[in-house]
Amino acid sequence: MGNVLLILFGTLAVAAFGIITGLVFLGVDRILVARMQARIGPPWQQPFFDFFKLMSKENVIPRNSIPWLFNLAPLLALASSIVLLLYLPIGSFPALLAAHGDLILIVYLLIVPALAMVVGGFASSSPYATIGAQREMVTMISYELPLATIAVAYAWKLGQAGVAHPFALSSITANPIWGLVGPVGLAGAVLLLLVLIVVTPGELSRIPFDTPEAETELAGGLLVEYSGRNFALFYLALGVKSIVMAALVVALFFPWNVSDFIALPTVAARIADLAFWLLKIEVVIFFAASLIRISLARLRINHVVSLYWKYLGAVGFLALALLMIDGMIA
Amino acid sequence: MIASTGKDSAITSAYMAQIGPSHPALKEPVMFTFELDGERVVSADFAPGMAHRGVEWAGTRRNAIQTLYLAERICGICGITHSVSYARAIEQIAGIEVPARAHYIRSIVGELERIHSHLLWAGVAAHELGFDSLFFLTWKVRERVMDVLEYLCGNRVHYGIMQIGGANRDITPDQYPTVLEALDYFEQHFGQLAKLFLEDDSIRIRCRDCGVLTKQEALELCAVGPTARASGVAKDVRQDHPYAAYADVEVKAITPDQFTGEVHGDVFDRIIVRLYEVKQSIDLTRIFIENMPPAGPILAEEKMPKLLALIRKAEGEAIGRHEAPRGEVLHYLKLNKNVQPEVWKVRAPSYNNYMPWIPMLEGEQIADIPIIVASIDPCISCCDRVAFVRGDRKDIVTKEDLHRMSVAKQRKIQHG
Amino acid sequence: MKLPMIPELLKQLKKKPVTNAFPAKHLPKSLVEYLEDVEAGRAQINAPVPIPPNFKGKLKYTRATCTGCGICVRFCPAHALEMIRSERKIRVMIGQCIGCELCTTTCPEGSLSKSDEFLCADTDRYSCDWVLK
Repeated sequence: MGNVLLILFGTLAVAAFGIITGLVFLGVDRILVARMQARIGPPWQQPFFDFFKLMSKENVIPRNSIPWLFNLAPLLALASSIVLLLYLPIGSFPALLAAHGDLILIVYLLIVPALAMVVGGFASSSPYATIGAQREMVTMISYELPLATIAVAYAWKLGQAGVAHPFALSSITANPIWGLVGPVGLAGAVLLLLVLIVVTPGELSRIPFDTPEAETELAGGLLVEYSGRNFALFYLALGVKSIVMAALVVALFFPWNVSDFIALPTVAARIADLAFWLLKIEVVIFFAASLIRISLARLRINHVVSLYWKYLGAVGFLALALLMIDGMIA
Repeated sequence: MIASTGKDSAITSAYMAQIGPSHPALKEPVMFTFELDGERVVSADFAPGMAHRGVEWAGTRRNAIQTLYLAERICGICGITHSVSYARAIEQIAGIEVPARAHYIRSIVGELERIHSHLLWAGVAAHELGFDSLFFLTWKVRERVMDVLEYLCGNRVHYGIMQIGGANRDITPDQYPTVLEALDYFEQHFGQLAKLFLEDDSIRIRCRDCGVLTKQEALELCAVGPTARASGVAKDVRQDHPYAAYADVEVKAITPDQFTGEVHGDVFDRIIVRLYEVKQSIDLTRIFIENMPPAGPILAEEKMPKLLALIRKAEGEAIGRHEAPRGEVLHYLKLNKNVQPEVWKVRAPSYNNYMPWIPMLEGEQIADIPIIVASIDPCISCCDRVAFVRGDRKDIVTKEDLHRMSVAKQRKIQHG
Repeated sequence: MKLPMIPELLKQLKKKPVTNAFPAKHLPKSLVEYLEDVEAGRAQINAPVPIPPNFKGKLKYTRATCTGCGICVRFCPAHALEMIRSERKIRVMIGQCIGCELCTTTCPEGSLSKSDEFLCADTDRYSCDWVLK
């Protein structure tokens, strides 16, 4: 009973935390992007203002749409993004549902927010949204392969190192990959990090992989018919999803905490770890989302597919091979 | 918005989609109808005419000097272009000799306008590609051009510096340093922009071999300006029929093979041509400022009532041409011993560059539509001045109808 | 893969933005108080962008010297000038003025001149700011 209550309140706390930090980091992202483009940019609270403004707007539902599906999609996107956060460690707090899922589940769950957007796009029955939804599906399928190679490479390495439950995220964070590998494997691990960094903007539908939304081509693509409350929910989902992707990168590649190195009283250690975790998240978001999205032109959908399938898939397999060679040498 | 293609819709997977008249990719209203097969464009069609304002009609109902300012307002960007070609038409009919210094002023402001227009276009193109950082960077430089034009003309847009028989304002020697300083600034940023546009691989994979217009098609469809030059047609009014101060300098039409050694006729070539024309304009402006004739009159007739009297005496017709940033502008004008122009017809460069859209767009992807449409630098408002004649409620005009209409109009022009 | 934009952007991160700043960062509660604060040195104000010499700003009309010859009315491309026949003076509709400078250069008496003022927005198109007599 106590466990159920803990999960219940924990979920609420994680949801609130995820939404608020998501919006804050969206604001920080906008300021940093503005500064890099020689602009002043909005105040950091701007995403909050945007959210409240959107909530006060009329929620338009197109006549040709399937209303229940159209309204369900944003909820699904937000809920699944929050669920993802429950499986990821935050600071030195272990993941709330660590006992109930592993890396494979996370890779699967990552599809759900994207799938919700596809459902919403098809349900809105606009041709722009339909094209956007088709593109989102194609993008989704193409970044699955590199993502899967990361999961496989990790589990293989941990399994080979003799760690119990190699797919569990707790054993991954407890045994950072950098400590397990030799020089050849190090190169493989760096390549894996690169793959995950490039998958992140695709997962978040940010430029150069924002073909499903493509403002100048599809006028917003699969979000074109969304407004008001529904759009606000998608906006929140974007914020939470950014945190999720960054948290995944941090959990896989940078799981260290301040308290591992400096002895601190329990409460102070928790706070210091959380602050350090937020810093790591911001660094990852800066390089994986903010910097990439303003330094490239938008790719065509065939470029996206060939980049993810051919090149990143090849890089993923190369990294896997390097890790294996490393295992053989050792 | 979405419609099946009629009877064959069960068999073919093609569907129709509209872009426009109002769409984030279009800065001005024009309507495209695409037949799409998945992501591929099977066929394209467009319908201009959404920004009609009846400028020519209004121009024949006010005196010729007032119409000059109306001509300037045909387009927001190429104000100098339209006012100079209009003024040149009147000067030819009325036999007005433009002072040498005024020729240089016209050329300097015209070249600054070209720098402005090309930078504006480069920013828009970057935005269409989803490359907003480049858009902000380009427009940062463009802001400086506008400052210089404001410094010389007193206005940021619609400069109001041209006059029939010369220019309204002189560019005095104490203004040279500011202009030259700005030219150095453009030169400095030109290097940066050229590197960012031409060396960036993400732009290259989007624009190379996308929206190809062959030399043959460019000639057949009478493309003008950078659109034609990017396809290897070395035509430029400044080179072929020098006017103003261009006869004193050697202007050479810029084609992409001068820089890359080959002509593709694609969007990337259009970026190359426009960027290097910015460089050419910077150099030309510098030459013009260095060789400015000594201070003297800048207007053939300074008193406006006298100028109007001169125009009232004139009779005849003429064509004024000017190389606008987008290509050749043509103003046909007929005066008939009256203060108002009898007939006024404007052919803007985008009018010629509309038709190449269709060979460019066919076979390309949906993602390429915005950049291909933007690549000719369309100026819809330049073209949409004439109302579509729908006397007998016919929406489609056949070739024979068009021929009959053109003969009738020709008669009206010839016989008054 | 060459991406020359990335170093440019990182370099710009350290530099100052080029945007012209608003006079005050946020809209003050009371403009009058804010301006008083600025005068007393308690608050900072960002100076406006300077206007170049010979700027074509809002028209100024000197009624006393106007002889009512009507040249400006005849040439104004935007029909912004109106003749008041009974008084042999003109009326200037600022809202219609396109800033072409034709009237100021043609006026034989120099009754029309341009100023540096460009903030002409008003809610009433017949306000005394918009119709000069």
